[in-house]
Amino acid sequence: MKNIMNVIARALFALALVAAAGSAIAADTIRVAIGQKGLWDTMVVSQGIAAGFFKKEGLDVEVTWTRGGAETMQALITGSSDIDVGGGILGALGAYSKGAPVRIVSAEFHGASDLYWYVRADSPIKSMKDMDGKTMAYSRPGSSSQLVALSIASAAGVKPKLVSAGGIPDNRTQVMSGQIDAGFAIPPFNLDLVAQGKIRIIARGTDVPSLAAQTGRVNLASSKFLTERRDVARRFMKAYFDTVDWMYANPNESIAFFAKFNDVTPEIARQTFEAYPKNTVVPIPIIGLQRSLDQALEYKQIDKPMTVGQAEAMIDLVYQPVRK
Amino acid sequence: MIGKVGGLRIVTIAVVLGLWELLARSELLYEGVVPPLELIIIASFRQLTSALIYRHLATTGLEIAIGFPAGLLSGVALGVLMGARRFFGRAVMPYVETFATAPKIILLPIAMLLFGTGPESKMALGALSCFFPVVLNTAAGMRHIDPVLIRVGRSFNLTRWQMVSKIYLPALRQAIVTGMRLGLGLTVIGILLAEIKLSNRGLGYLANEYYNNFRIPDLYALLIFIFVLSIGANALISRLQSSR
Amino acid sequence: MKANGNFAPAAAGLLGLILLAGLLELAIRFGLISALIIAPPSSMPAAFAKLWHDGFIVEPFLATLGQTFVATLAAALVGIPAGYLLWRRPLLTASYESWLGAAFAAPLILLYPLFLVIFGRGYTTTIFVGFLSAVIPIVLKTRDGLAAVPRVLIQVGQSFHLSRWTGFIKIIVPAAAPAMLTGIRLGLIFAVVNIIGMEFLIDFGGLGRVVSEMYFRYEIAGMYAAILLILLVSILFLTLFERIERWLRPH
Repeated sequence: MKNIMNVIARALFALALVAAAGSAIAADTIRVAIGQKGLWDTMVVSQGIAAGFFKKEGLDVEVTWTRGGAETMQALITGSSDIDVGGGILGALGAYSKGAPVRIVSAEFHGASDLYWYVRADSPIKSMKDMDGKTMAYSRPGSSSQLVALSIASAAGVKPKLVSAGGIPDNRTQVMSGQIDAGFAIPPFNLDLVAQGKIRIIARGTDVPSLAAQTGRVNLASSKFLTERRDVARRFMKAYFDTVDWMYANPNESIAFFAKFNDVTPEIARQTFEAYPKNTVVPIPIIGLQRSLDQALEYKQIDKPMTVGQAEAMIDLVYQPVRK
Repeated sequence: MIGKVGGLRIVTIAVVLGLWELLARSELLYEGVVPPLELIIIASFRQLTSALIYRHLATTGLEIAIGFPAGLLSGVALGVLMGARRFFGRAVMPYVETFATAPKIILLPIAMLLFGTGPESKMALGALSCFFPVVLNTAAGMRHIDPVLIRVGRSFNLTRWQMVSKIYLPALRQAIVTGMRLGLGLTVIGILLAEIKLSNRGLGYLANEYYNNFRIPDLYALLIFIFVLSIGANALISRLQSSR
Repeated sequence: MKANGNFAPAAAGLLGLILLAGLLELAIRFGLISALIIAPPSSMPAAFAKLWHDGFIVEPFLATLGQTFVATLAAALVGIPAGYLLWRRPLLTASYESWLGAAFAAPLILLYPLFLVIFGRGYTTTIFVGFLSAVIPIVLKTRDGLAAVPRVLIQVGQSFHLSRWTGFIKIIVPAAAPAMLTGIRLGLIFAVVNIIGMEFLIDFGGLGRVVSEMYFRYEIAGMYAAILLILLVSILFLTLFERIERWLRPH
């Protein structure tokens, strides 16, 4: 009997040791939903994981990739994820106005330097000026691609026929098979076709400088998460900020990581990097709210006008770096 | 006759494959949308020999493994109830029939609002898809049970549970299996479509990934894999049906 | 309209539905169920009104209807001759019937990314998917209907020395018509289900797209209203077709 008690005691002691050691290195788990794999701005979290920034904050990050902002927000609202990276601001404002328990914790992308429109290489269209009456694609009604398309068209003084053509791969098929004249994409997508001379870029978001002053994509968190695990959220955002700083302080490494992560050539990775100057991905501040609110009203994302003050109640910056 | 049938089938397959290859090598369709057969075969081989497809198959399989029995059990339960209590059955039938004809995928948002965007919502969709053919077939089966059997059961003063297990269920076996067969097909379709719409795991998700990244030969290879599996499962159940 | 024997269950069913809706409403009001997950039944009229006002009812309804009509028509134009061909050549039946059955059980709608790639994101793809789901039941039912015509009837025709063609038109076709109609009805149902499913999946087209759009815009009440609308459309189709079938078969 004594022997058995001895064995049990030793086993319990060993177990206790393991548990103690385990809890010392146990990290906090955080579930992150990210829209659209393959873009430069959506890669921040993956970069941060690889470079160890999240581990440094004691965070174990579980990433779920979705196909876009609307879907990431659903993951957030239904509690399937804690943080939503890269949600569209119009959708976020819309959900918030309908009572969704979400908060903006930082910006994710400002401006429109990523979007570009292209035509088939053999198309007679040489620039936006030739696009009058021709079909120009955007993804879904109320999307940033639609808004940017409209801005680009009016800046060029033409009236193309805007068509909802779905995502980037849908655009690609329809342009290449001749169903629409100009489709949109975001680097690095379709840059391989550019390199092969099969398509030509006729317009970019940067063609309309005023678009730069608007935050298009934001990072969101559920209010429940912010209430119950605020410190985890703060540490996550700190690591996020640090990663962004690191990516631009070490461009060669971040470009190389991007190329490997998304299975593209170093050249295409570098072109992608050039479409995203640092000021486009700094997580604060959130700019252009009035304009976003106007657009949200126009495209029926919100039913009643919302003031900037009301919208700002949605913003909860859990972490703000001390900037010199 | 067997010889002619087999012969015609082989010729048909050969002609279809030949036309495919012609179409692939012609310039008619945008390049890549109809890839040459060898690319599909290579993609197939690559997929089957790597772990990726099996990991996603496991997720989809789990969703089916939970969704299908859930739908089956609840379907049989309601079907038996509708048959045993005729008034209730006739009151409820129009609603069941209406829901049965509606596409279940549109109920996915409700499932996701209730269960989140993970595998649970897909299981719920699977259960919903299976439920209706099973209910309808079971209820119909109940109506066709020989009244003699029911009177015998009643004359023995069987409890409700004994009526179900000793009289109803054995008599319903054929109807339930028919419902099962239809239900399984619809469950698989429902779960795959739900994965395509919004998920980050599973065969439907994988197909969507291939499409988004324009990996068309992989997409074809994966679809062939899915089709072979579902036709195989269907054949398996029909073996069960005929052996009973 | 409804026979007296059907009145009591129908009334009970309706009453039960209203009771359930009432319970749901109470559960939501008392906070047992979140209104952000299940819209309270009392919000449905306003939600429908909003859908109507924003143009999410009439146009999408017509779009879905139009696609279903075209798809089923095409399926009938292809399926009935194909069924006839299978019936005339037993070899074809023996070779292809089980294939068609297997294809029908397989998740054909999964092929839609391929159609998206081949036809692009437009009505061609959705109608084609509807066509594929409708054509197989039409082919199989047509063949079955023709094959099930009792020999007696054919012999009667022969005893009147009717030509092959007249015999076919005057005897076989009317006898097979009920089965063919059933096939078309099945085809219609499968077409509309798959078309709405497609619309939901690719965010394009009519009623299915509306559900998806309401979901992604987080307009939960509107989403439920759209789903109810689709259910209403299903009832409409079913009842309409049942009426047509009964009218064409006055016995």
